[in-house]
Order: sequence, then structure tokens, then C-alpha cells
Amino acid sequence: MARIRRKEVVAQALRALVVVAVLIMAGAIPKPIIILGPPHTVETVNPKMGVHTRLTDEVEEWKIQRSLQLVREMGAPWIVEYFPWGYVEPAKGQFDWQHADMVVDHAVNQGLTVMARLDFVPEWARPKDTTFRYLDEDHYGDYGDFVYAFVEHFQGRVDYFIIWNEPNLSFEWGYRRVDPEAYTELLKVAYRRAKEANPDCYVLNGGLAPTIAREGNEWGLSDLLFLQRMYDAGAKEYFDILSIHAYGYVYPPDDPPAENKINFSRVALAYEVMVRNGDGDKKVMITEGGWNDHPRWTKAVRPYQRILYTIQAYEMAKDWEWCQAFVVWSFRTPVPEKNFRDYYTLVTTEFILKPIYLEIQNYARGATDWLLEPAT
Amino acid sequence: MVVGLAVLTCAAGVWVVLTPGEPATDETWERIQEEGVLRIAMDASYPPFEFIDEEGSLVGYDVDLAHELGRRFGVDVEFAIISFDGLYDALRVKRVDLILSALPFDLRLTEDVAYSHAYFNAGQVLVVREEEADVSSVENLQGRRVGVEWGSMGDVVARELLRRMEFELYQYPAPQEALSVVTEGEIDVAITDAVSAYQFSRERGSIKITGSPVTDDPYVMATLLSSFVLQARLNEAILDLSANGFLDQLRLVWF
Repeated sequence: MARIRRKEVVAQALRALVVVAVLIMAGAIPKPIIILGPPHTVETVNPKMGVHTRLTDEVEEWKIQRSLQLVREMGAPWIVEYFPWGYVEPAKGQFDWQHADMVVDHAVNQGLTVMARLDFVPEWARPKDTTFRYLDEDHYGDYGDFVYAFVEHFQGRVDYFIIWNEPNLSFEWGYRRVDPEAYTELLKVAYRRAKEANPDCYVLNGGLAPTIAREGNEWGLSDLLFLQRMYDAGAKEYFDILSIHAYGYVYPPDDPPAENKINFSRVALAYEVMVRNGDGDKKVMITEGGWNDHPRWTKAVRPYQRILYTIQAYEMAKDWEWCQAFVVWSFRTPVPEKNFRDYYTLVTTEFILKPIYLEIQNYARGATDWLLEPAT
Repeated sequence: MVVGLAVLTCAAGVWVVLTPGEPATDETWERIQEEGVLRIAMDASYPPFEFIDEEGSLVGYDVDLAHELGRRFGVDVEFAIISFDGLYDALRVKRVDLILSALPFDLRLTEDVAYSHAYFNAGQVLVVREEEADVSSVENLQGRRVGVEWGSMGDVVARELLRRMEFELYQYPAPQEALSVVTEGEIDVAITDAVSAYQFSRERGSIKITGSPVTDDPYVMATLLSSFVLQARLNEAILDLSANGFLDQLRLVWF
């Protein structure tokens, strides 16, 4: 009896092991094989077209490749991509390049020019209970080390580097009062280290956010005032190209600029600040901007307006000699944001091409009927 | 041996269940009752749900719903007008008790907040003439004339449907124009967002929403996970207000 009982227990255990093994094998579904293939080039009537790809949190390689392929097919040669410092250097001196390499290699393969935005402070480089936008002077050197490592690692693949993001907003400065002089010191550190790694690279300042906040406002400072204070603090020699953001909200792109108004053409006022500071020979890149078409947000426009305004803005950027690129926010998000931000994208999470993508593609292929409003 | 392990597991489970723990409390609900105030976060940029009118007052569908909740809970309502990006932070740091702001359900945040039942679906719907009896789902679009707002999510939906069926697609600069031509008989069906459809129906009549929504965009309220009593009361209220027609009446007032 005892022998029979032992056999039953062993049989049951073996059956359980088989079930477990099958479950493990079923979970280990082979990943699709992604092949880079031969290099591509972007065909477009407007070499200043760009789009923010935001592949930072896209983990599946085929989706990274597909996104960048669609950007190329849309006709936009420039992309801004976000490479969080905290993701790449999770511990001091320890680098994880895998995801960044994947994104960059696919972008280069698609013939795209990458502008790398570098920020997001890792936990080891900031005090506890601060946000990932908080970087104090004690850690400027660490950020500089990261910039050096990043520029060196991507030499030959990435030439444009954006130092921080929207430093004229308190939120982006770790919820501290904005400080153009402190930001300029950070820019100097990053510039020196970037040039040390690659003297031929281009350093851009953190894209300035369009705001009309005056001096003393706890939430931010006008992009124009912030830029002038950067110049006053000696920033002129420490950036090669001005990076600025341009959102149109409810105004068409050719709505005239004014210091107390936020619209697309406000960027021309930023260029005037550069000229006044003897920096008119430098170029400007609009590294983020565009319009939103949420059905109810008070700062959105109708979808057809978003299509027309975006294309008109690409044309305006083409005509501005001092403008090197206009990068639209944004291409696609890995998961729906489930809020008004979904109405900035050109392609859905499931890779459904929105009408705006198709119209931009038509424009990039030389179509001119975008000049007309849709027939009723 | 196998039976022994099973018995051990069951015994552990029984021990956990029978061990007396701390009684659960909803500090948010207790505070609301003690202070007599329900604090609600809203981004007043989404008419007709919440917006600032010409007199500078906060008004809208969600505002009226909030006041009704206050009435049912026997407390006053206080609004914190915060831009969308700050709504969840305001809840997390307990500056407010509840977000009620045409808030879409976000699956990614269900480990951080508790969402109520949906009280409105803002998704895309099929709209036909009042007398139309043959269209009740997207399957009935085959061979018909379909209108959408150019570039909208309705346009996206229609183009996706064209991959597997055939119909004539007409695009218009605004949803009202697509709905107008439905009433005039120039097209058979429009695909628009629910709010636009309701607004047009109230102003012009002659149309109806048919079938189930083509896409879902449920609006919900959000509380902290620990606010389980408040959450239960909200859900109870939503079910009741839906059943007794209050939410329908609110819709007729605002769109």
C-alpha cells in the first residue's frame, strides 16, 4: 500500500512539473526579429520639418522602428528624442545604453537627424523628496560627466544636444523659483563637457517655454526675459543654436507676435533678443510646438485648423532664414494619455495614422491643395 | 506530501482571516463630515462640463453635479480650479477630496487612485435622422453616405472602418456641418462625439443618436484609494442619479 501511495505522489508531482514547464514555455514567446536593413533617406520638400518622437518609454523594438519609419515616410528629417539621465546612468558611473542605442540606431537607419534632449535627474544626484527636475549646483559636475559620456558614446550618430528643458518654468526647475543665472552656469558646464567629447557637436539651450510671466512670478519667467538674463550672465559663448518652444493655442501661425501674447510667431521676438545681443548669426530651432484639437479644451482649435496651421507653420519656418527646424509636439505615445495631450499626436497608440499625419505627408510630397479649406 | 502542503496553505489563510486587525477608516470621509465641506478639483477649461462664464463664475455640467453631491452628502462644496496637469497631484497631497473634471478613465493610474462608475460617455456616436430605422450599428454603414468632422477622431474611426467595408465618406470643417447635412438628407449618417450630437439635437432637433457608442470615452471621478467610504457614496449617487433621470436632465441643461 505504502509503495502504491508513493507512486501516486510521484505521479502527481511529475504532472505538476509538466504543467509548470508548459506554462513557463508558453510565457516565453519568442520576440519578433527586427532587422535594421539598408539605410534610408528622407524625401521632403521642406528640410526643416521635424517631430518629437518621445520613444523614451517605448519598450518594444518593433514599435520604435515602426514609429521612426513613419516619421521618415511623413517627410520630417528632424526628430527630438528624450534621453533621461536617470535612465541612462542609474548609478554614478554605471551606464545602460541599450534603449538609447536602439532608438538612435533605428533613427539613423531611417535617415533622421536626432536632437537629444538631456535631463531627468537620477535619485542619487538630488536630495530625497525632490522631483526629477531638481538639480543643484553641487551636482552640476555630475550632469556634466553624463553629458560628456553621452556625447562621446553617440559620436558619429548624434550631433545635436539640448541641455535641459524649459528652465524658465518653476516646475521644470524642481519647483524652485526660476534662475536664469544658475541655469546659465549649468549650460556652461554642459557645453564645455560636450565639446570636450566632440568639438564638432552642436549644443542647444533647454527649450524655452512660451510664457508671459513677469519678474517675481513664482511659476516662471517670460522666455524673452529669461533669454536676456542668460545673455547678461554670459551665455552667448555657451550655446550654438537657440532652442525655443512655440505653441499656437487658438491663434493661426501668422498671428502677429507681441510680448504679452503667446502664439506661434512669438519665436521671432526671441530671435530679436539674439540680434540685440549680437548673436544674429546663430540659428533658432523650434524644438517643440504646434496646436491641439481636443473637442472641448479652451486652448484647442478644430481638427481642420490644426492641420492647416501646422502645415502653414512648417512653411513659415521654411521661409525664416534664421530658423533651422520646426519640431511638432508630438508623434505618438506608447499608451494613450487619456487626456487633452492625446490630441497633440499625429498617430494613435495603435499606429492608426490620423488625418493630420496624412495631410502633412501630402504636403511633404509637394501637394499644394492644403492651402484650401476642406470642401463643405 | 501534496495534501499536507494544501492543508498548511488553508490553515494560513484561515489564520489571516480570523486574526483581528485595525478597523478600516476613511479619513477623507471623516474629515468631510467633520468640516462639512467636500473639496473638489476642476480644470475650468472644458465647456460645457466646467468653464468660467462671462460673469466670471464657475459653471457647467460637472459643477451642477458637484452641488448635487454636496446636497446628498449634507455638506458644502468648495472648488479648487487647477490646470489638468495638477489635478492628480492635488489629490495625492490631499488638497482636495475628489477630482470631478470631465476626467477620462486612465487604466495606468488605477494603482494610485480609485475611479468611480462612469457618469458620462463622451465617445463617438452614430447620428441619423429621427425617422431613420435601418441604422443601429457600424455594420449598417455599408453602402451609405457617412459624414465626419475632417481630422477628428470620428474621421479616424471612419477611415478605419473603410478598411473592411465600403461607404462614401464626406468630411466637414465642423461637427455641426456634418449633422446639418444629415437633417437635410444629403448624407445618411454622421459620426461625431456625443457632446456635439447632443448639442445639435437640443438646438435643431430632427436627429437621434442610434445604437451603442462607436468608441468609449467614459468620464469618471477620482479619489484616493484610501477614501473607500467616499468612493462607495459616489458610486451609489451616480447609480441613483442615473436611474432617477437627474443626469439626463443635467445633460439637457448644458448640451
